Amino acid sequence: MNQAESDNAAYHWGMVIDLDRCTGCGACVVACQAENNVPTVGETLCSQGREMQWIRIERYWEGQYPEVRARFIPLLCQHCDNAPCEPVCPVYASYHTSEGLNGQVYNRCVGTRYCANNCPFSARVFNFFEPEWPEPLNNQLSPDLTVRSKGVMEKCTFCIQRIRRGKEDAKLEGRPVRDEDIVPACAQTCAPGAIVFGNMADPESRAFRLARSKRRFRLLEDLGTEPSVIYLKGGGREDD
Amino acid sequence: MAAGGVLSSCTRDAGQLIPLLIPPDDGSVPGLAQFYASTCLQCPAGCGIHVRVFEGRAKKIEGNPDHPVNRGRLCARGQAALQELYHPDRIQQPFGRREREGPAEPETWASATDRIASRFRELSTRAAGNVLLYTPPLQGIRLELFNKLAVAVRAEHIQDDALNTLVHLTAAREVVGTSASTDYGLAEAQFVLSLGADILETFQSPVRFAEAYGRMRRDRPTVRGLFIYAGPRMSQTAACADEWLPLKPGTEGVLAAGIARYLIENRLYDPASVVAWGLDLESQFKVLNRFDVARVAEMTDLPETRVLRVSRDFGRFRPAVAMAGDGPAAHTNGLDTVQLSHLLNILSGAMGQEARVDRRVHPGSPVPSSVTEMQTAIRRMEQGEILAALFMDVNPLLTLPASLGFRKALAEVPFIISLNTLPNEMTERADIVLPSPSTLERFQDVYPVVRPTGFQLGLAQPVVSPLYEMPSPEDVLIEIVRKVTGNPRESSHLSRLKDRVAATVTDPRTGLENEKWFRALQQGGLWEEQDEGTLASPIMKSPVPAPRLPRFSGTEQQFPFILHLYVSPMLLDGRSAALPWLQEAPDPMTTVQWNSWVEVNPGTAAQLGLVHGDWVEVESPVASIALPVVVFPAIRPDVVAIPKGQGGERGDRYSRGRGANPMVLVSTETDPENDLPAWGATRVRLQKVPSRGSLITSGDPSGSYRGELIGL
Ligand code: SF4
Ligand code: SF4
Repeated sequence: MNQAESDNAAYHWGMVIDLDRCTGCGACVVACQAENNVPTVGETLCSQGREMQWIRIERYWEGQYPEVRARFIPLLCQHCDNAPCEPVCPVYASYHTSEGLNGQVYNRCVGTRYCANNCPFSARVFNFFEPEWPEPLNNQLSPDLTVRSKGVMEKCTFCIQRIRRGKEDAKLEGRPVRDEDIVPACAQTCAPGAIVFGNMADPESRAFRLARSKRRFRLLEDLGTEPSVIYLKGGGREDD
Repeated sequence: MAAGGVLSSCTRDAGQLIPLLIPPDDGSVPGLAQFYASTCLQCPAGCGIHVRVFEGRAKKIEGNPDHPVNRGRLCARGQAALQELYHPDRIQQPFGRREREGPAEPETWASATDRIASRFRELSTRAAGNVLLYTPPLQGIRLELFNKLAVAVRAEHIQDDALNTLVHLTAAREVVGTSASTDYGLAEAQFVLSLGADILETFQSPVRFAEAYGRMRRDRPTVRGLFIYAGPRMSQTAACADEWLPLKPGTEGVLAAGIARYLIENRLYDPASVVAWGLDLESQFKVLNRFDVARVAEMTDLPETRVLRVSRDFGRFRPAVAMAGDGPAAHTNGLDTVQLSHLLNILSGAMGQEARVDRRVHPGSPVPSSVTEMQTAIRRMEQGEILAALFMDVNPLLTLPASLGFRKALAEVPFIISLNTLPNEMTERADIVLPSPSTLERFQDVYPVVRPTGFQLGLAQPVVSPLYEMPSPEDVLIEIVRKVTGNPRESSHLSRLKDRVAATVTDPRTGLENEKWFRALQQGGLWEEQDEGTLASPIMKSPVPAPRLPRFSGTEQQFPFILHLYVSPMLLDGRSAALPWLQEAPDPMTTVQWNSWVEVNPGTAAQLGLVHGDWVEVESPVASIALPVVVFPAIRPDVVAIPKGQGGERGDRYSRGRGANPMVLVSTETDPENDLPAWGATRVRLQKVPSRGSLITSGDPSGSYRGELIGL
């Protein structure tokens, strides 16, 4: 068994998002853009639904004034174990890694957009045009990952560059990756600590333990896509 | 030379390749990321940051996990500060204009500061008060230097309170005898009542509060803290509450008075706290006697059951904390509401941890100018008595109510200097424009608005070599002072900063005086967790007065709606509007992008024949603006709401000409007895007008699509 395979057995990446903590503030959205070279597209393209954010906050209204509630739910690629976006890609740009990630090979992508059409969570975004960073804004671009070009599909990677870095650091120090060593940009910035990322193959990990909460649910569970993102239901007065 | 020769053919890449061959002198290591500690300056909260720098370029801002204000977390605005550093429209050098609004011509620093100093000197020898200095509320070295300049040129100094902190400072002084920086033990609370305090988005120290909120909700195995929000509009913060109490605007104080009365009547207060603070319960009860549950329900327009329940819960859960925010503070009775929130904390026993006086090297709290001072300065400008004015980091043309007459008054000032990082309405009008380094390129001593125990000072420091060569605003001021006074020995910004750091209290555990500077650089400030600080002497001015009724400009018949203005969660009062990440980030409640709007209750909209995206003229007694409508399910039918932040006409490419500035609608109501502004006290009416453009939302306007499907 080579190194890569032994790594593979050890990790299954997943995320828990506690909706009782999430305040809908959108810090994760901006943190993700900064981390992952996600472009802004401007007002006109936004009006055509072509914004590129990899994580977005959906807001739902329930009830009517005055008995009305708003709920927020951060929505990102669910890294489904049974991902509907994968089998439809004619060039295998959308694929599954053995660590449970739903990967996207940018330089393989030919832009058919089948994957986006097949994603029930609308988690995928497409570069309809060449992204723009008027100078000197481009100085901010991270060298850890590519800038995707026109015609390429992209989406949340669970900050794959941070996963890599975490694993490399661990390897250099000759130890396994410690729980919560790897923190995606969204989770790192989230003030109330709503997002917990971790190794679902490790029953001791915080993410694994949280994922067993009574409040757990997954999005569109009945579609059977087996998302790796687990949500915990938000509150409401418990004495109600 | 050899390297230069080899690379000369690939000219475009040379800039990136050379550093790999010749070690750069900025300490960066090719291929390795470095982190620098600093302080976020996007709002007065002063969160600690770590900036990830790669080959001399700032790539990402993270929260500093060791910083006691924000404990490793950051808000969207803090994340976006990178775009200020690398903004394509940054002012890169000084400019001068020969005529008002004429073309800006490049000028050298020496000539610009010469011109400013000689004009200041000439004016100040003629009479005092010819020069106006206009800044946000300042602390630390900036305050020291502005005071120095003000003395040297006999100037008046206005500290524009765009974020409305004066009322909070006044209330703390009135009730607990000190305008101390107040913190709230949110994480330990079992019950939190927000009277319009948008603690999770814009109020005072939002990252600190949101971090504590997360712990309040879910960090304790057996307790989930309850959170109740009272206010006429459901803000993002209110949306997180277990219960939203949509009371009439300006009656938040009435609710607080009712709860206080209930607590006293039913002996649900903390006796030790009452004794410690010297609160005379009997006289306090007398003052609040008429605010029984029925009366409060009627005045606030809330069901009696709700008033009763929140009163009972505030008495039942311990600790219970009350906070009053910007919405209620902007009414003519705003001071009453904030004072009564302190009374509630004294009654519940939460005030013990809350008030803390900081008697350290820095002045305890900023001193924003009062309404009268603002009005006087504007009147003097208009009457031609101000002959030169220097503006730093402000945009009063956007943030002041237009009815104060600032625009007209400004036109009468013959010599305007504006100091800013990005262009705005002020730099576009100034006779001399001085650029300021971005917040990631300069040193600054920072005093967070909510200061944790033992916190001494935050330090902002340059994390990259400056993109454009320019002195810090502090050094510009020092240069002007030097030239005005002819005293070349004014010490530099950096040496002043080192002095300040040296003057902080030394922690006996961590040691040596001369290491302090390096520790401050390493941590992004100095704090000692063990230090208990000094508690406010528990003496209160009792009894706390009963709330007055709010007054509004405009009659209900003519102007049926109360205008609720709020600070935009993404753009604040407009200071973050230049950053494209924040323009494109959907507003949390409406999901609108790149625009502004007016929120209307669905019932009201139906009556007026309005649907989402229709345009209306919003008309107040003083002005009108046109805006697209967002039909907003969680706002009172008699209230309409508009976010601040958009409507800049002259700034950078991302904010220019977007949306409308609601501050033009505001009548300048005040609380004359306390000399406080009341810029939330205006009524308006709506009139449907033909569409003037589209309104872009990232979510479905109704918001309910697939809501059931995903099992929420
Ligand atoms: S940063 Fe955290 S609280 Fe804010 S929207 Fe994202 S998940 Fe929610
Ligand atoms: S709350 Fe203020 S200081 Fe803190 S990160 Fe946000 S903008 Fe910066």
